[in-house]
Amino acid sequence: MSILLDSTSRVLVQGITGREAALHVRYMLEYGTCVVAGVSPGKGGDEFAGIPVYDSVRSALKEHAVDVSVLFVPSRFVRDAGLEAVEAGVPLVVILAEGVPHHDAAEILARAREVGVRVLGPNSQGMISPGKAKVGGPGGDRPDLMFRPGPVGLISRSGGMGAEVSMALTKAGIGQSTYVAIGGDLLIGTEFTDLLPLFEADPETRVVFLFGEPGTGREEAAARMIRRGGFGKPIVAFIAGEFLENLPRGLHFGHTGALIEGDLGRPSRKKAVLREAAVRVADHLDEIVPLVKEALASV
Amino acid sequence: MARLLENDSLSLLANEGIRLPRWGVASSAVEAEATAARLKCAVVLKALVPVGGRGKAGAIRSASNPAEAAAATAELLARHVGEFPVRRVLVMERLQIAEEQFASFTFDPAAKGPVLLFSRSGGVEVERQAGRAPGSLLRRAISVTRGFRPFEGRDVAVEAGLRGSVVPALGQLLASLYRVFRGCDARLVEINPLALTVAGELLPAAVVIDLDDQALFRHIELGDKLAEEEGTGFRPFTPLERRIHEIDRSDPHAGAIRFLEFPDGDIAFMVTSGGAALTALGQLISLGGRPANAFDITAGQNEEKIYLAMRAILRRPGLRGLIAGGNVKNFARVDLQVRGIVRALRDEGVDPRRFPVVLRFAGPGIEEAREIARNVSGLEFYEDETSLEGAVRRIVERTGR
Repeated sequence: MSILLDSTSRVLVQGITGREAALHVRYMLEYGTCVVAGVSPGKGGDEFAGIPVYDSVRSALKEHAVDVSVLFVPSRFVRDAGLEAVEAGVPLVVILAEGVPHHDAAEILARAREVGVRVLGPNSQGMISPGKAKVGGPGGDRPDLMFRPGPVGLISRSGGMGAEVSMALTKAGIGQSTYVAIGGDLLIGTEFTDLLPLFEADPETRVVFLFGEPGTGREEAAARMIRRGGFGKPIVAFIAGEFLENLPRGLHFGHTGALIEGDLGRPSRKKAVLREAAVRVADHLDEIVPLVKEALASV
Repeated sequence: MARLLENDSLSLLANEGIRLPRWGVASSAVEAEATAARLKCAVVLKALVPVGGRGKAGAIRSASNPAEAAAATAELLARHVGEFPVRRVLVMERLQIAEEQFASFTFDPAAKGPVLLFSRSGGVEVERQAGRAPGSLLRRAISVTRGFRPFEGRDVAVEAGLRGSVVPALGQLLASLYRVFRGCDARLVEINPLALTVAGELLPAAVVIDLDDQALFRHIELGDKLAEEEGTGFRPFTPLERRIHEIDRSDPHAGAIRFLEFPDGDIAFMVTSGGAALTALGQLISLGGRPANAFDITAGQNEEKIYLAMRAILRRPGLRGLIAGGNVKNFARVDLQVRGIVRALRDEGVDPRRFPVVLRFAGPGIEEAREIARNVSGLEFYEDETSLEGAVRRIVERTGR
């Protein structure tokens, strides 16, 4: 099993004729991902790597059933392409671009909520269910170097660091059920608390790893969910950026305008509340693999 | 951070038809005197700097006549707020305030969209007051697809216990303010205090607008206003930060740079991609290393930017080593990054046999990257068999005293 994505998931690629897409769609296909169609306005009727290309999401959906749409679209065009997928009712929309204007993200997320569509990102690197399928970037051209099937579910606010931790696990002989890069932006569609219940229900997942960062209250919300008993499997976590707390306020890194949240968003507090929820929190990167091993041994 | 100066923020409010106190901008005592004389009333003088905390810093003064306005302006223009020099002063009608309120529109990650915050206890320290009396701060999540309408503002007014003509006034004001928030792609629009005057009028007495860096492509004119005053949010750019900023602006499509200089550091730092930069910096500091800077760059054809930025970083005096690289890459070709770094080392005359250089790269293009690195003697090049933490340890060992 896995969450969100498996070898039967039918994937649509928006912006399929772009440079990044050209590269990654091939990697996705080589990995076994079921890419059924692409969208590239003005290029309807073309083919890319044997995949039919359509002018719009709706015209693609007339010919194909789709479970996931992934947007290989530059940030300034994400609003239009994201709303197109949401309005067409694609069940899961994955937004990879970094630098999407906040008001655009808010609009996509608001519409998605109204019509019942799940959004992953913006600024997600995508997701992978090792041995089954991948969407977006995880693993690049060599997914087997970083990922193998196994019992650890991963959720990361940093796409790169989630892959880094997966690679360390893989090198230690520990595989993954699904890795989901939820995105580093202030406003994102899918959070830790949305995915924990899915990992809870997935029999293959025995341990979950969370990679957190400063700002927002996402890790705090996860800790509350765990403390309420909303998650029964062991969790290991790492929170980057504690040193930022010692720098003067107002720095470029991690500012989220959280006027009234007080110390919400401080990495030290995130670590404290996660520990109170019996999460194993690594202080250093190299502690993560031993803690995951310990957690696996406990179940 | 992309904070507008208050005069630019006031102009945005005025454009949306929001009634404001009368105001002008002075860049000399003579101009302030003339402005105060024209306003024919007592005035408030505020240093125009892109940072908060001006009240506490003594950068807001009061004057009851033009001569006093001139004197106070002369004093303000001679000083700094934080590290920002005061170049201009806002001259604003002084209001007879019966109640100081607070209103802001910002983004709430939990609500996945904008929220309105409103309080009848404005002034400084809204955060602390809200902590003491949690009910005093009203919060409304806003549906972006519907917007924020005057009746919703009236509901807020009623819930806050306001009565009479101020109820519709607040409704109109908040709806207009939300249009400002949307219209200029703001991250924050804050009015504090929002003055309820003795005469019963509702007037913004101080305005803060933070723009969204990620949306500046839609607001070229506002971006130009920011460029005049840009800094890191709490101080002006250092010369190195300004140079890196120029490099970044020179090609907006080749990845966006985030950069910060640490004045007392001595290890040049270029470990990239969001979480990896944060993680490696934290690791470096906890191991006793002192980073000279933070650096990150988003995905794109960024070899040339990396080259130019690395050259600028390496020119800083007093450096004792360099760590660069990142987590295992999914998208970016690491050979392009390594080539940019190695070119910069060569062109700056940096010899890794004498100046410790530790690189840690993994991802697409690693074979080519390995070849490029192999041709530079003294350079330590690590791949995925060494953890990011291992590489950080190595630079700390190599630069240890």
